[in-house]
Amino acid sequence: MAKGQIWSLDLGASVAIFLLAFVILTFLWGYVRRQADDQQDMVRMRDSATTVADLLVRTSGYPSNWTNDTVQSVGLAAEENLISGQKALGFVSLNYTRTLDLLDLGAYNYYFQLKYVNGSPVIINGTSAESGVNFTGTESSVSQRYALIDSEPKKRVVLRLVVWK
Amino acid sequence: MRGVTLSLDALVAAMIMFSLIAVLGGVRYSASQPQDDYEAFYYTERDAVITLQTAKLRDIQDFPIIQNLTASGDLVEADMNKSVIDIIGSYWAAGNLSIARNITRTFLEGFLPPNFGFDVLLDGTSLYNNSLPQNRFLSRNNFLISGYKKEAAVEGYVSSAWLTKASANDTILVSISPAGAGYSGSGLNRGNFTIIKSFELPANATNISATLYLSAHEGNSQASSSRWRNVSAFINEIWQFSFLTSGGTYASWSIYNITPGNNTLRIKMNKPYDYNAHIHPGLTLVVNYVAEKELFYEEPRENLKRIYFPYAEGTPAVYVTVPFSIPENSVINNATIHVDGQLVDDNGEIEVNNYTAWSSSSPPYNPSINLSIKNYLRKNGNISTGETNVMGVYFDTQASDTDYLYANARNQTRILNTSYIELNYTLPQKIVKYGSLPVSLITYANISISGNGKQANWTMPATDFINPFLHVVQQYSWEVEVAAWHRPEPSPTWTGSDKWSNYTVFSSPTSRNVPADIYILPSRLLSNASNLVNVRDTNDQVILSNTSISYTIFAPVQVGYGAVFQNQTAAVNDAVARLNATLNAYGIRINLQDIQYSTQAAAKVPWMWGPAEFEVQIWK
Repeated sequence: MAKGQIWSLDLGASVAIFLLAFVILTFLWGYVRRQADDQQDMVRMRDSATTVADLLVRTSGYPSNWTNDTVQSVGLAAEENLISGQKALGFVSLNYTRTLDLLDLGAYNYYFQLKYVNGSPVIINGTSAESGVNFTGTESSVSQRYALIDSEPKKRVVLRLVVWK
Repeated sequence: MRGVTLSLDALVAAMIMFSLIAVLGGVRYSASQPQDDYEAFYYTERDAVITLQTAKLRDIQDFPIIQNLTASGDLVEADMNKSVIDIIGSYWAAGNLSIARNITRTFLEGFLPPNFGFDVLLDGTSLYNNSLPQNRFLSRNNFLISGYKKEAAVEGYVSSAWLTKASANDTILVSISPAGAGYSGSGLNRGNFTIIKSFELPANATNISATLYLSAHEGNSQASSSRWRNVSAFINEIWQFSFLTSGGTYASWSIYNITPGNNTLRIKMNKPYDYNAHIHPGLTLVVNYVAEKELFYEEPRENLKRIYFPYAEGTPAVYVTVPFSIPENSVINNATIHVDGQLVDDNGEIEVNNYTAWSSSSPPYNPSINLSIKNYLRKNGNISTGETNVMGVYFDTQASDTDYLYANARNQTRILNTSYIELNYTLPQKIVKYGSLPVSLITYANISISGNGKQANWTMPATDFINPFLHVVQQYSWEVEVAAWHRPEPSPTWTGSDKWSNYTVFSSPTSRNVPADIYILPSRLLSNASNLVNVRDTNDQVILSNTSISYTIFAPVQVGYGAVFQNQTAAVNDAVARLNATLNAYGIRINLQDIQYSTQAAAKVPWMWGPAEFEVQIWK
């Protein structure tokens, strides 16, 4: 009997300790996984912001003389780092959901803005060159590019893109 | 014992699990922030360079620095289509760093993010540094750039121009070396002297003008009657002028009636009151004209040349001197003379340099003499030294004073213009100049040097040249020494033995032997350099300032593509102006209708400064 009592006490204590440790470990593992996923998502968001900003400032889109009806790929450049005011106007007038698709930003939201070096917004034909949804989420990534706009004379502008979720 | 074992296993398992808990509890997953920063730096650096390349000066003309430069005229309308980086690079290349820095700073300041530190460098020279401290990362990006100079259009038209034919002005010198009626010593042996020289102008020559420079000597000032002391000149037997001599005379007259093709110059000196009629060094007819010329020049390697004598007749004797030269380092194959004389009663003599090639105290009445003179030439072995050779022919007529005074029947001894020197030589190499215009140029030796000498100092154009000759002018003469050199060679000195210490290109072989044309060895001269020629009489007789150097250059007849202009007409006008300026520099005036041109649109003109390394550094 004495042999059996010793066994049952040891077993009870060991199982209790083990289960406690297992529960804690499972919780921590889940936490680490979530944190890693969040960071990777942040990286993907930054990459998306950088890629989309680069796409906008350096490429002319497809077709190169795209309109809101024909656009398959969005680009704002008349030439590299020279933003076409006409294309910028076309871009900000595109349906937001459609632009998410065109820019491959389906998982995120974005806010796009062109502003002059003095901070004032670029106004094209009375329309401010900004579009998208202002940041209201938990995480965001900002990409800024520096270019000219093809006004006469050409002016220095900052392209600011906030990708967020 | 079994129970103990079990409790130990559980403790070990628990320790392992708690260790895992501790590790996982400390794990923090972080995104790759440095990579993102460098990526942002890279794009910012790239944006800075591309916008500087894309923006035109017109786009930043509201910058205060640009307004100042425009107001001062340093930047002009043609610069407005240059890129900003062109203008920055242009000022940088010109060493004007303050302006380059000012433009760079004005463009980038406020444009690039203020929380980044910047340094913009061009070939290592900092153009803009915003002086922010560097805490963590530094990114550098290098680009090779080049650009156009300011004030040069970058797109438009360029043009070249060339002559299709050359109706150019030119000059020939018709010179007569010393000649005369011989020296009789005294008494009444003096008599007339006539010399006739033929010369040829191109058949299409126009705008002909000429001046005769005459250095002659006869009689003295004792006589008052002009018939005793009268020198006249005729062109194609048309009288030009007469003048009275007063000993040795040097003067000039405008000459007319010269025609395209063959012409003759006749100088007639009437019997002087005493002494004898003769020509001193410097009798030269300078003929200017305009004619269509070939745009090439060619001299074969094998040459057979005849140099004809002038016709001369004189009383009581007649003599002529004839200079000739064989180009330096040519192989002398043969050299002969043929001399025809008439009405020779007494002595005759032919000299080549300081050799007597022929003499006779009883020559034929109408001599026809053929001689080889090769051994008397200035040469080393069979190779010509290039120095001027001088040949003299003297024929005498024997007549008494009585013949002359009372019968006036004294013979006029003659040297005929059928006489010639024939030279057969081989040049070191054939001379061929295509696409260039041979032009004769003259410069004067009018700088006085000691001993009544003269110096010519001129810059030879940066072209090939041939046939440099010195034409000595003297009122009275004895023997001359000529030296030629070029800078930076030191000047020669006059030695006690009446020679130049260095660079001698001619020494009179005998007294009173100063030829009209003295060949200057081309090897002593240099294109595109300062050249000098000294000439001095060993007896310190005066060398006159009309002494000249003539030479032939090969002027270029085309200009290449020039600056870029915004329209074709401006490009053509520029090319024609450049061609005109090029030719005018050689004294050539051309007709516009003789110019052909080619124009091309210039969309991408090659860089004009650089390449230079443009570096952008960003940090934070």
